[in-house]
Amino acid sequence: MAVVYKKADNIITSLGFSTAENFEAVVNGISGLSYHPEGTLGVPEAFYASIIDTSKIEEAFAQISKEGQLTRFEKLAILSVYKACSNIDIDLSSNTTLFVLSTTKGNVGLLEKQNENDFNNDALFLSHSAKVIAQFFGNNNNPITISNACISGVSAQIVAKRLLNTGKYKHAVVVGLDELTKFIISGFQSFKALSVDACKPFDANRIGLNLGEGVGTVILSVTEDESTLPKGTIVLENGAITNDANHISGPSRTGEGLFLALQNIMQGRKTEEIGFINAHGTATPYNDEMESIALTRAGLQSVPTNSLKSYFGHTLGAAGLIETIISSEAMLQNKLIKSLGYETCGVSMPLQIITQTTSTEVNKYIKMVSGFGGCNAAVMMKKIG
Amino acid sequence: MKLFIHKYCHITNSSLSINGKLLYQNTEELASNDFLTTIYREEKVAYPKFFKMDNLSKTGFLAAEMLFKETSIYGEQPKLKTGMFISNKSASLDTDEAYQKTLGEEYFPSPAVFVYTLPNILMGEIAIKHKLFGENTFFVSELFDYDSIYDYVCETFSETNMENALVGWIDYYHNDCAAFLMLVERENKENWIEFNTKEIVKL
Repeated sequence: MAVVYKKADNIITSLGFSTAENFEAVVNGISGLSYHPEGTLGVPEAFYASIIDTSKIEEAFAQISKEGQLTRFEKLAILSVYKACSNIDIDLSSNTTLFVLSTTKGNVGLLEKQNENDFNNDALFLSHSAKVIAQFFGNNNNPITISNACISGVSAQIVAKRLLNTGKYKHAVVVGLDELTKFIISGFQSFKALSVDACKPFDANRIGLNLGEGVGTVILSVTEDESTLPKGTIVLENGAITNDANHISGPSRTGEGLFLALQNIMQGRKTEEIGFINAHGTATPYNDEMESIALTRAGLQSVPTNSLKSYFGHTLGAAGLIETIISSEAMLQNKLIKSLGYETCGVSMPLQIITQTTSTEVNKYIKMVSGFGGCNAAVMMKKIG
Repeated sequence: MKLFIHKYCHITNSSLSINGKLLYQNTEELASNDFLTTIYREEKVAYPKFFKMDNLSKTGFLAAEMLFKETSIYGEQPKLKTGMFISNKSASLDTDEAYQKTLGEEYFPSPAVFVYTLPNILMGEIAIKHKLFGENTFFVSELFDYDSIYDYVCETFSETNMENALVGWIDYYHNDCAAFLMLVERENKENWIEFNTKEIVKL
C-alpha cells in the first residue's frame, strides 16, 4: 500500500517567509492580523486583515531571480516553492514531479486593469498562472489547478495524494495561495461576513471573519514501504471531500457534509488516537456553530480543538495548506496550539477549545475545512513514531 | 479499475445532444444564455432557482439535469455515493468580470453576484438539486486534461465506495458555452461504453 508523506514545506505570511518563523510566532501567541484604514487596497471601508508587505516580496524574489514579467501572485508562489525545496534534493523539472496549484482567485487583482491597452488577458486564467509557476522550475507536465472555494488547500493535498497513488509521479509540489484584493475584500464585506476587530473563533462574542493573504507549500512524496520513513515523518493517511447539498453560501444546520467527511476518515479509528483537531473556525456565527454540530455528531467533541484563523486570517486557497503545515509542526513538537481570541463557549455543542499552548504527546490530528458551494473536506495526518 | 459511461451530454452555443444524439438546436441563433433558458423551459424543470444562477452554473445544471433524468439518481432521496469531478478553462471569470464592474465609480458590490465568483458553486447547485453528498472537486486547465482527470476519477472510485459520478468539462466565458459531461458508473448495466481516455477522446 502506497504511503504519501511530506518531504518539505514553506509558509509565507505577514508573520514571516519560512515555516519556522510562522510557527514561532504562533507558539508565542503573535497574530499577523492588523487594522487597515479605509482606502487600503482601494477598499472604501476599513478592515482587519493580514497582508504581506510587497517590498519584502520584491526583495526576497530579487535574491532568487531577475525575471521581471511575473505578477505578484506568481512571484509569491514561486518564492514559496523555491524556499520549500531549498534543503531537499528533488528534481522539480522531472516528468515524475507534479505541480498542483490551489487558489480560489489567482490573478483576479489584475481585473481592474482589463480595459487598459496591452493588457494580457491570459494572465487572468488560473491555468496560466499554474503553467508560469511550473515552468519557472523547468517542469513541463500539465499542472493541476484546484479551485474549490475555501477547501481548495485540503482538496489539493487529497488530489495530490491520489495522483501519487497511481504510481505515475514520485513527488507533488502543492502550492496554495490567494492574494488580498479589493475584489475579495469587497465581496466578503457585501456578505457582512467580516469582523472589524480580530476574529474570535468559537467564542460567544464572535461576529465574523478576518481575511489574510499567504502562501503554503508542501512537497509530498510516495513510498511503497512505510518502514523506510524516518521517525517524525508526517504522513497524509487519508482524506475525504463531501458536499452539504444544502445551500451555496451558508453551512448546513446539521453539519451534514462535514459530519460525513469526519465519519469517513475516522473509519476503523478510535477518538483517543486523535491528538487534536484543527478546525476551519472562521469565526462567523454559522460556520463555527456548524462545526460544533458536525464534530459532536462524529463523536469528536472531547478532542482538543483549535482554529488558526486569529493568527493568519482566512487565507482562502492557502488556508488548507498553511493550517496543515502549522498543525503538522505542532504534532511534530508535541504541542497543542492555543486558539487565539477564544474566551467563552459560543456554540450550541460545547467543544474542547484549546486556551493555552501546552505540550502533550500527539501522534495524529485531523484538519477540516468547509466552503462556499457546500463543500467540506477533512484529512487525517499522522507522525511516524 | 474498469468504469463505464452510462450517458454523456454535449452543450455548445448551437446545440445540446445526449449520447451524440441531437436534442436541441439553436435554430433562432439566440445568445447562449437565452438558448440555455429555452432548453430549461422545454424540459419543464420547474426550479425557479435556475434564474438566480450565473451562466456557468446554468450550463452545468442543465447538463446534469439531462444526464440524471430517467435514471435512479433523479429525485429527492439523498445520494451519498455520487461524486462530481468537473473542470474548465475559465473558472468563474465570466462572473468575475461582472462583479468587477460593480466596484467602479458606482461602488455597489453585490453578494448575489459575488457568490458565483467561484467555479465550484456550479457543483453546489447540482448537489442541492439532486441531493448529492459525495466527493466534489473542481479542476481548472487550459484544455480538458483527460489523463489526469481519468487517473483521479479511477483512484477515487477505488479508494471510496462511490457508485457513480459526473465527470467532465463545463465552461462559459464571453457568451461562449461549452459542456461535455459524462455520468460514469462503477457497474456496467447495459453494455455501456468503457470509461477510459481512448473512449473519452472519441466522444
